[in-house]
Amino acid sequence: MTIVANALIVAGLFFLAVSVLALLIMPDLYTRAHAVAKSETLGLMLVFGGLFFRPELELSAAGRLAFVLVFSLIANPTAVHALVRAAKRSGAEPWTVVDQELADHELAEHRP
Amino acid sequence: MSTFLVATLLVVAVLIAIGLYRVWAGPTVFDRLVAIAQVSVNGVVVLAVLGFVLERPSLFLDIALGYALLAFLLPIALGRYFEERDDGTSQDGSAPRGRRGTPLGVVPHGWVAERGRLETQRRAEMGGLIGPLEIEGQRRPRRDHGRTRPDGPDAPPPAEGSGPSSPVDGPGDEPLPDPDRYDDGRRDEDGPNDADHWRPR
Repeated sequence: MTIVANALIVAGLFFLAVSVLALLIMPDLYTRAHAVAKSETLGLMLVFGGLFFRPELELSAAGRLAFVLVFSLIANPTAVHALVRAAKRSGAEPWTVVDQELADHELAEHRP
Repeated sequence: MSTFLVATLLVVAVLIAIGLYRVWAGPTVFDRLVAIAQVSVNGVVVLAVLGFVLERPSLFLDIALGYALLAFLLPIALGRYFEERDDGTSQDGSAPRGRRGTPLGVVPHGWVAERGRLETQRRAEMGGLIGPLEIEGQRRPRRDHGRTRPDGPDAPPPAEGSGPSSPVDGPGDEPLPDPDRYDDGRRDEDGPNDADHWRPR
């Protein structure tokens, strides 16, 4: 049981670490928010699922653990979504790659 | 006391420290808020694991639940607070956020101010075809999409001389837009809106 628990917790830590890494290196708000909303939630669920199999678990703690897990599963993506919607309305521009050569070519074509 | 769980705690603490770098670096307030949401989730994980380390899991899970509730409300509330449309009004049409945010010590987002400046420039280049132009030093007319304008959103543009016909002139010698057409009765008590020419240090 402890082996299963530790494996789940390590998997959860992996996803938490991926999320933090994305927060560091991603280029703009939307990609970072993507990492936080999805990878972070999955990591939290895996860590909590691992805690279910720990020997220290009591019956009263199990219900609370399940409640916090389900609540975070719903609340965390919702909160990040509301935040990014506010940023979108405020005019945050998504990060894009401009192919300058292609853009010049198209501009030259459409110029009279 | 389990060595594995203590190691887990340390790893999550390092992750929180890295996430706090993004809170510090920004560059916009929404980046900070996204990073704060992440740090909050990591905090919930720390509280849950700490309960198992100290063998009081139900007590610490109660605390984690309260923290998760706060972490859910904080990005939503602050996201609405910092939301700013192109014309400088926030979602409920209250004062522009640049003035509200400054006393809190929150650095206003540079790109919102920059976009407002560019939009003002664009309207100036189009010669006032779009609508009232904000000129520095003058009160900005509220844009409420025709709800309180007496003649509706399809009204003809303001007459020559009352509109922003020559926006490149400095403040002072430019008449205000026609108050009967655009005034909705609200006033800014504390001077002109400074959201567009506030610059972060």
